[in-house]
Amino acid sequence: MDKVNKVVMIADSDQHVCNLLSRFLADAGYTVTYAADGYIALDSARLAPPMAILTEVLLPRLDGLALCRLIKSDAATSDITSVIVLSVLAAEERALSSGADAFMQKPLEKHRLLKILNEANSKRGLKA
Amino acid sequence: MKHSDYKCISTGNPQMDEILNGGFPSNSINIIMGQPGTGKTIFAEQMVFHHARDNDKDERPILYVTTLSEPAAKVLMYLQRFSFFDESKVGSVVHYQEIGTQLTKNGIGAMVPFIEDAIHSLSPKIIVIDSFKALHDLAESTQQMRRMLYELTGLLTAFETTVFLLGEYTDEHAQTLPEFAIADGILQFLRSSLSTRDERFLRVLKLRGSSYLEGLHGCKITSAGLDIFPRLVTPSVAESYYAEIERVSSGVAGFDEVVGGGFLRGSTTVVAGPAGAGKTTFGLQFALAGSRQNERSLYVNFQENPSQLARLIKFLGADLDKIKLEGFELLYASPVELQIDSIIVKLFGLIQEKNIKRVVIDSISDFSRASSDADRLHDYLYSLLQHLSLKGVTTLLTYETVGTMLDDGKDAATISRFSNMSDNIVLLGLGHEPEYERDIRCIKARATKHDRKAHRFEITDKGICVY
Repeated sequence: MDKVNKVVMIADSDQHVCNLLSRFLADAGYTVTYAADGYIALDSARLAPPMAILTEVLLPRLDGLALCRLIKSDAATSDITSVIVLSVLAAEERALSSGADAFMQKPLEKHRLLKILNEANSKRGLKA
Repeated sequence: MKHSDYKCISTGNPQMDEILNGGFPSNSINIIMGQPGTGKTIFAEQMVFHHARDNDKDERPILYVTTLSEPAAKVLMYLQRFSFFDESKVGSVVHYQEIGTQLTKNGIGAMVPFIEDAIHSLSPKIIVIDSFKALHDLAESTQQMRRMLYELTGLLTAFETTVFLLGEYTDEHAQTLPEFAIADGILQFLRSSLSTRDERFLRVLKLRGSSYLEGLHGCKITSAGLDIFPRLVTPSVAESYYAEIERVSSGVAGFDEVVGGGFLRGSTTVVAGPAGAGKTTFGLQFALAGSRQNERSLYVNFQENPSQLARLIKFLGADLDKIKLEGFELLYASPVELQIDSIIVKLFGLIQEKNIKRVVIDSISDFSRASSDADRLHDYLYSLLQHLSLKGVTTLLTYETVGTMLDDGKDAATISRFSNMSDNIVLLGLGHEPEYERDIRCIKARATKHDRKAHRFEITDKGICVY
């Protein structure tokens, strides 16, 4: 890989949650993009696939699990992007069967989040 | 959520954790409410420093945010008087931050960015906001307050931290203000005036995802922080039963025959009579008889101080120092400072710890006077006596009547109330002119063939002798 893709997309409708997540990610050297609903996230990812998508399950218009399935079934994005599903629900099984690389139950904590993101990327051979 | 997933955060106070069935839920939003001076800040600080004490270097810190009720410096100044306070933790583990200026300048909209900043820079495991209620004074509208609360809740739900919102909230606020709807736990502190002293209580109003000990629990503020006394609840009724037939001597010469050979083990007896009738002597004889038979006795007294009691015990032919070594326990509390909750918790703890088999409470009249709530006292005593009965502890309660007989309304009503929870009732009389002959009568003895006649008695240097 010539140039390391260090873009992480946050798909979450809560502006304050997005802000805080982006600050955690920026601290770790990532470039962050946002999507306030599932279709915006899908379109943006198809246009410029990010290294990873952190998506909330309860996303407007297209939920996070459906977004995950579409990203993983699309050849343009499936090999490039890790998808990490976030939720207050204990939805790990559904997230993994939707093709997610990892699942993280809310509430979140910075170090745990970065660890899971790194592990998901490492599994896919992506280096942060 | 699976039950096994439920995690608690300890309050740092074992009694409070017992009330909360382990503590507050982790990563929850909780309200600590109460009028000024009820103890909510002390409770929160005690919890904060408990967690600070056990904090390893790598652990996440604690954030204490003051709003507009009291500057952090003032909170800290008074906090230093408590033994739980540890100056070395301030700034290293416990971070005090003021948001008053931002709130005054930018309104309540400053709160969410402030907390966002704090989570980003500190990643605190606990956040205390004191006072959260003060934000209502700055809100331009209810709508603005609701909006801020919605955003704050979203943020706090998404990130790992346990939050405590402190405030001078009233019962009415708890019904109407929006933060009470989003709270996972609500703890209320109360204070009520009783004669020359105050009684403090706390109660849990809400605790999502867990059972808790309902009702009012007594508490008091000491130099070590809050001392909490969980309400004693009636033990669950055993499915099997065992009818106790063993007799326990009263220790009063000539009286055992009146009640069929002594009191039944595990029973409760009320000894009632006017001042000077011999109730304390009767109670002491009962307790001392236990010591003589290698049964540990506990004498709870609110009238005679330890020196007066030692003289009385000596009069009855025993040596207090000697019998203490043999397992005789004395618990004295001044009737002026008597708080039922603390006494009963102490008493119950002693009974369990020392394997006490005989208990004398002298007197329940003092309990009644010390209690602001007669129903609560009755429930408390009932629970205590049920516990004691199940443990095979034989109990004697003294009660001071106003007149010489029980025919006046007040005494009769009270005795009737205690009668429900007692197995035996014994009346002591001072007698009438010209002889003033003392008399004793057993007017009730459950499951026992007893002698209801009045018997003459005297108080000799061996104590009460019944004829």
